[in-house]
Amino acid sequence: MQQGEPEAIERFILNPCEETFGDLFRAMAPRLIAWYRVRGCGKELSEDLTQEVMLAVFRQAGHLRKPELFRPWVYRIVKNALLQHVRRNGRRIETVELKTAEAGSPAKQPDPLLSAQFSEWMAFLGEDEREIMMLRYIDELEYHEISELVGLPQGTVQWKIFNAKKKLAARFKPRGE
Amino acid sequence: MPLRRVEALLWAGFSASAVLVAYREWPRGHSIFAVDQLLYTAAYVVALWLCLRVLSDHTIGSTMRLAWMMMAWSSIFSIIRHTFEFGARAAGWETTRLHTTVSLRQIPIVLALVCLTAGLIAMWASFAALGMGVRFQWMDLVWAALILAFVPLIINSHENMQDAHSAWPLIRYLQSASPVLLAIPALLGVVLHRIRQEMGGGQLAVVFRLFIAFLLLRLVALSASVTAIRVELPVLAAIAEAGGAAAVWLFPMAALKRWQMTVAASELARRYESNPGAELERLASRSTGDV
Amino acid sequence: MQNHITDADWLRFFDAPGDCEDNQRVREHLAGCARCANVLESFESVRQGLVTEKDRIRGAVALSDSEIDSLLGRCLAQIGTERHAGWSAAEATLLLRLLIEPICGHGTAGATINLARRRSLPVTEENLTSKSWSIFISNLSDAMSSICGAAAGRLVRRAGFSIAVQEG
Repeated sequence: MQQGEPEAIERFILNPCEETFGDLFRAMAPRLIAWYRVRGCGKELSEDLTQEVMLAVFRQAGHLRKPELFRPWVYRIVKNALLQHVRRNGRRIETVELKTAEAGSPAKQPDPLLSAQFSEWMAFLGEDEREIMMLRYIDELEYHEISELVGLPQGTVQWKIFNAKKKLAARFKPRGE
Repeated sequence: MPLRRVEALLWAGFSASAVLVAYREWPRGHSIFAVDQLLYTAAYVVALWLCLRVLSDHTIGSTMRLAWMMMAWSSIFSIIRHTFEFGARAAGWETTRLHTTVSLRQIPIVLALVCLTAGLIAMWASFAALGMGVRFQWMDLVWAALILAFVPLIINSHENMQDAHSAWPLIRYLQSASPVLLAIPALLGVVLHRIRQEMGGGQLAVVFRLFIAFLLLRLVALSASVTAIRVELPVLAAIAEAGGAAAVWLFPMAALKRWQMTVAASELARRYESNPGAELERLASRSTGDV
Repeated sequence: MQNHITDADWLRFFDAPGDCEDNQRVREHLAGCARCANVLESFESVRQGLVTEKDRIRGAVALSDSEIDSLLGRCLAQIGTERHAGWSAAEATLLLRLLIEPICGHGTAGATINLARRRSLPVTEENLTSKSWSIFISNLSDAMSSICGAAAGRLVRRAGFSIAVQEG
């Protein structure tokens, strides 16, 4: 988690007002934009969707009481916002398949944002492994947050991540070997 | 499997059971080699699956979760019963061991009915907490009286019941109790009917309508199969028995409708989470009658 | 550790890298086993690769402070506009009723709303206000959950907390 983010989340939950929202926005918006960019959204779309998500967070501030569930809750809104956008604009985005959008990766073609090596690694993994790995290492969610978000027990999440790393380690040996 | 496909399968099973039993009963003498038992087993397997899904949507310790858990147990005992009956038929025990081994089917029958009753009572209790289903009208009492009228009719014909001549006293006792055990859930159907009236529509009311039909048709079918109606009005008896056979499928249908309600509510909740403004606008436009 | 390090040991070693006995045994085994040491190196290489990619992506998509402030400004402007709109408690209750009636019928909707209202208001008050709205939504959500399941309860909660109820 970024420095200051846990404090910003806690302050916002305890006192959801514009001031605490501003701190939360500064702490979380870059992360959410990165989430959308990694999954193939352009810069403007990522910013628009992030704005939509943060507005939803502000409007629904009242119903979340536990700071430790905040990030999974926000990421659910993030995923749903992308899914809704894809469904609304399905005809215009020719290369998008709903299934890949639901997996969090709306573009068929490899995203130029991802490096060649990383793209190769992610292509090697299964769909659910890929998503969990991205949530852990790119979005930097904790195990319990990923568990809450994807609806799997924490132990299962840990095993899936371990198995994915094991597959990558076995397939893509370190350079020099 | 998409829920629409499950619904289509249930209606197919409903039709198949009705046709098969009608074929067996009118005119009497046709054999369907216990295929109906296989169909019932399938119906209860689907019911069990759906009951388990529905109960997972209720918090642990809630009365409604208990209700659906009891429905699940009722399904399990029904699966055991119908599988046993199919096996007995296949092994030829209906001719060689009808009053001994085959009569043991009364045990899962009674257990299924007891669990079903417990589930319906728990469901009633959930609504009673809201003040629903506690005030009855005179028409409800008329229905209850009609249902109770079936009980002595069936008891008087208990000699015609399938296991009335079992070698074991316990089984004979359980068989003789079966009219009462079927009537109690049917009476609870009157309670569900009252609750359904007070609900005033909605997806949950459809669930209750299916439960009520399931409960009442089985009592009617039992009456038709054991009383003098079978001899004096064989066509009516055949229709009633076919209806009773088909009614088995109304139980998983009710569970399916209940599960569809959860799926729809989850989808709507997800939409409110991601874009509450748009959803509220849509809701508000319904309130003003705008399209 | 007589044989090589098992998957369960690796998992414990990576995710709980304390000084517990099992991890100590892993470290001792690694000191003497080239094969397991290679495996560790592979894992470390993967981990480093992921971390490097994360840093690279974050750098590539980072917005400047002014861009973040601009986005925040747009958000706050929209919040300011919305705040002046709002529903009275009666209107908001009606909206919720419209939401739940297709699920549980107007009778059950009325019964659950009345129950939630009774539980949310002190004896001296008759009408819901913006202050009692959150409690009302929680109680209504619980009542709906008890009858129609957790999904319906969640729907009430999501929708209810989305409705801005006017002060007073």
